[in-house]
Amino acid sequence: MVLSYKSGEITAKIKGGSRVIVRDVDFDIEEGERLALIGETGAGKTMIAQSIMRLLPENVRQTGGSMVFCGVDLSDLKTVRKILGKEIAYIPQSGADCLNPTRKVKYHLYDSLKRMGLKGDALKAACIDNLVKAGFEDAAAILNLYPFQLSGGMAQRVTIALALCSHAKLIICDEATNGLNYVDKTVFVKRISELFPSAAKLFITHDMQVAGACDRIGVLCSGRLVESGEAAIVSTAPKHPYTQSLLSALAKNGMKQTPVLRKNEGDCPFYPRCEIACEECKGEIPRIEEGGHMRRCAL
Amino acid sequence: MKKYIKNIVVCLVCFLFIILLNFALPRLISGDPVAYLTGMDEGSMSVEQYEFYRNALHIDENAFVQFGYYLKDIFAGRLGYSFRKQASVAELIGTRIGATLQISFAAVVISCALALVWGLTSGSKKGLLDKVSTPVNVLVGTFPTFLIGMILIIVFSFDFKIFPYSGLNSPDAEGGAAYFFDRIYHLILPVVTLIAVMLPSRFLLMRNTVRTAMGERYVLFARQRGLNMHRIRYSYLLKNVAPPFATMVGMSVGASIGGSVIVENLFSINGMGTLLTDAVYALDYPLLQGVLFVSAAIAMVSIVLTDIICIIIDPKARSEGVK
Amino acid sequence: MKRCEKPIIALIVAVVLLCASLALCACDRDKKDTDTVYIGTTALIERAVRGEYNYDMLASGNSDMPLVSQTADGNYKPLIATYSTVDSKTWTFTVLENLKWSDGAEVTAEDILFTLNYNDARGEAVFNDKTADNDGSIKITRKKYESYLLSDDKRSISLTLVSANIRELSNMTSFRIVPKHIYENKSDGEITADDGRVVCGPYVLTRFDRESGTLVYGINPHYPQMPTVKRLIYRLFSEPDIMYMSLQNGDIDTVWNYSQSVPETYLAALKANDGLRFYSAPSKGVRAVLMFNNSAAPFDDVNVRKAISYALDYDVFKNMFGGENASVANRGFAPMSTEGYKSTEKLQKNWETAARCLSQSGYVKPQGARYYSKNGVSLAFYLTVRSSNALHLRYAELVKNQLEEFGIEVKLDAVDSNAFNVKTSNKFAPDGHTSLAHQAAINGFTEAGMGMGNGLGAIYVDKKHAVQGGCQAEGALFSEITTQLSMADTVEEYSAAAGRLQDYYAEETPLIALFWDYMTYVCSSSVNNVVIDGVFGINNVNNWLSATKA
Repeated sequence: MVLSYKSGEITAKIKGGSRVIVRDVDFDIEEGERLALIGETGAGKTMIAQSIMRLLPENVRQTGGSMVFCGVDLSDLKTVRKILGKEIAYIPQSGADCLNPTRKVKYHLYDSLKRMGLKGDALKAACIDNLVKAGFEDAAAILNLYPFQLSGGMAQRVTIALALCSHAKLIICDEATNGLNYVDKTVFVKRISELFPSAAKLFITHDMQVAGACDRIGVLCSGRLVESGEAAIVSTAPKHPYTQSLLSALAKNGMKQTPVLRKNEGDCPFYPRCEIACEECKGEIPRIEEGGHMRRCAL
Repeated sequence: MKKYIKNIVVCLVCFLFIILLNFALPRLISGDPVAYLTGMDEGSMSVEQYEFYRNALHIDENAFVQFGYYLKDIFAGRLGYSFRKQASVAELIGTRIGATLQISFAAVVISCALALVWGLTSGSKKGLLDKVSTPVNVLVGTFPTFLIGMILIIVFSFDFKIFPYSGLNSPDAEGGAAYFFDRIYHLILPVVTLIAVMLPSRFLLMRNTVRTAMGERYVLFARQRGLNMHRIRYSYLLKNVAPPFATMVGMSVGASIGGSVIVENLFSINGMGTLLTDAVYALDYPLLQGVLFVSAAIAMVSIVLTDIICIIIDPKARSEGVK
Repeated sequence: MKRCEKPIIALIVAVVLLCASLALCACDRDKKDTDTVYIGTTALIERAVRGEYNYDMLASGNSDMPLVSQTADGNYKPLIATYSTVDSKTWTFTVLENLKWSDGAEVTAEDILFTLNYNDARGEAVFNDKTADNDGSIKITRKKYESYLLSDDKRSISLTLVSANIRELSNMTSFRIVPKHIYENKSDGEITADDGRVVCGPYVLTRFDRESGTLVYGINPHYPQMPTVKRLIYRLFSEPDIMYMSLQNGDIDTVWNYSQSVPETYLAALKANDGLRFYSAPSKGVRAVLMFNNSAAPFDDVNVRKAISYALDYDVFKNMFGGENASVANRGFAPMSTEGYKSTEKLQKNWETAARCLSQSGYVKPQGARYYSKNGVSLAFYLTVRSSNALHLRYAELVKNQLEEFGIEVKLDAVDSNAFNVKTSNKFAPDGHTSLAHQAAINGFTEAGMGMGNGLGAIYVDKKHAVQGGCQAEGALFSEITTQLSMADTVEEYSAAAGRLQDYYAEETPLIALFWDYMTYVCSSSVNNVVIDGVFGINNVNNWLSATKA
């Protein structure tokens, strides 16, 4: 068990009060396993990733959760800081934004490599090595470029190379396939799986294709985990109305109309928009588990 | 390279403009140019003296010839002669500028370095340091110079009797190493006063810029890669917050040539600041022109240098854009 | 971590430097010689050579002495020469025995003669009349002396004035001589700084250190008498606050500025210090003067001038600005220690009298009106004052407040020194002027200024004076009195004329003394047998010849 995650309640303090962003999202990731967290924008996916790395924004608090990484409790900040970049690696959405605009690519890599304790010639060799692994043919040319001189794809490959610098046991990819076309998206998942074969991989996405390429999928709706199970099943024959409506919203399935809007009542996050909602949905929603598949629905 | 050249050309054009103004204004103001150029009035000069100066200043020749002589003087380093102080302006500036540089320049350098480190550290951490530093600096920033100086003098020179409070050296200091250390001993209090005056605004600028930069994506990513704060500060933040800071430093270096009159007054040090105010009170035009000219020149050079440094720091501007 | 090390090393170096300098210098801080007197001054001294005004005033007290000195109680003592006269028209000065210049040459009466000619060549009307062409009006300054006679042994010179002046000696208290044997063969540009420091007084400047702001005077070996104080060190300060704190701290023994008394603001704090002693001398100068321009409206009207003299509250001025010996002045203006003083009516506030004076000239203040007015025009004037003199500004503000309360509008006109001179003195006013530009002004007269010309501050009152004349007073009566003053051959004649002038001041009110005060000097109690000079205060030659430092 690489990561055992229980979110508890993640609340954000905003003007005029506080808002619960994520509640009771629990999942585990094994070695080598690929878990996709899918949901709409604003569902709280990035918050979950940040909470694992203990880098939540100033105004966001996490209460009641527990995170265990390879047997180590992540509630101690100092431990987390030691682990970040060495055993947990993060690949962001847009590489160009995330790189320091005033430093060359090679220095980014040196920084990450130095963190691992490499020096001198070994450092330089590893740097080139990682760039090649990330998919650059002419690694030497990339070294002295500045981030603003990289294309979107090149920047992403640099972030992959940076992740390669560590011996990560957990890779978190935060919507890293945005801007790529369909083929490239699935290729991305494959490449990450090849580069980090034994690491637990968490793919955060809002794209069902990407989620379908993983091993397991968790579906988030307004910060609640409404369905989770094997990727094959969830991505083709989901059991929760929300996931079903996500699927049907895909262009290839024939875009269906926006579901009906109701006032938010009760525990189910999908209630305002669910086509087949009824009176039972206003009360307590049971959690149904059957053979590796979980869903929270009253129907 | 192109960018450098543009800055230098602009600077030279400004400089030319200043030279022209410096030349033209005293000759255009209504009144006797001899009076403005010598600082004396007709009544106190004998007829022979007046004629002598009229000739020496080439008043009777046409404007271009006069300008020619004027340029010749400038490039020969002759900035005029102050009749009130009975010394050449270049000589007066020469003796005073050393004192000013020792105080102002040292204070600028130290306060900038301190502000850099302190502001960087304080802006990038949300801890006790920032909670204490920011209000303290805001408070001290409101203190007038003479108040800070007086407090320091009263506490350190009179109550604790550690530091001296006047002059740049003791009267009986001999040459060599003892003189050098004596000078440093005398400079401590004036420099500390000036640092206390200059530091708050610089600290706050640095700290606020850093604080804003901390919200940038690349800082977050660096933390996500597990890099420690020290590396983030000096390898990531510093180069990105440097341009506004460098600009401020450059401007203040130029301004510091005018010296701090108040500090010089408090510590009885004869520097450029007192020279300038003496010139203003006495309406000593040659001295005024000379001092302002030198100040403008130095300020301009430092601004150009700052611009060039900013260009060097910013890789986008430096490279031609390689893809 | 290599990158951290560089700034840390720099920091350590800086700290070591600091500690080293502290260690080396801190122990020397309190060292002071016991046979040296330390004098603090805020005089601005640039070059420390003869000819620089501030330096001349300072050097008059130790090295570059004037011909005679005047003690605090008004008597004269020879410094360079003894003096004698029969008719107050011909004065004979005999140089003292064994008096030598600091380069060893003897001081003779030829030096006196040479100096007189030297000044004459530089525009002073000594032996020759001087004309100044002011674009149409020719101003002639008449020569002072009509003849001289050098004795055969070159030790005495007899100078015959154009007209008798019983107060000639007071002019000699600021007459310094230059060494003929050095100056006669050199043009102005060839005189070096060292030449400018050859003096005949008990001390000679041994060091002028700009960096530490000190002037060090050692004993002139050629002076016939050994001074009791072996060395004088003057410390130049830019800020009076720091200077007085230094005095409190014992780093200096006394404070001196030409013709300046210790300001009231410091006295209270200084008096609490047991290590300081205070000396008072009646002042012949008037520190706070309200001058009227008697030639221009509205002060060409004597009733308006008198009205103001009864509208001010003099007790407030005395209490706010004067020391413990201060007193309300008389209408006769000249202080009590002045030669020829005559007691006149005391100035006092009396608004009824003031209102009566104004009504005599047609000024009325109807019910509810703020200011007096005549023919619909309010009575108002500009009060000119030096912007650089904080004390004068305070006097001006108080005058304004009091007069506006009474009912006269006052507008303050604070100007820089040059502009002030242009507005209030004949010499600096624009050429061909018929009247000076100010209406009223705040000024201060030194002892020397009060004593110049005919004395009693007449040079500031007389419109015809070539240099001053701020009050622009003229008229048959005034001319008659001034003529009588200059013609006086004996002390009695002078006193009679002086009395008439003071009566004139009291009646015509060309100017007002806001208060009279003593000069207060302060000195460390480690210095004994202090002698105060009537012109130079505590920094005078006689003091250093007799004072002892414990």
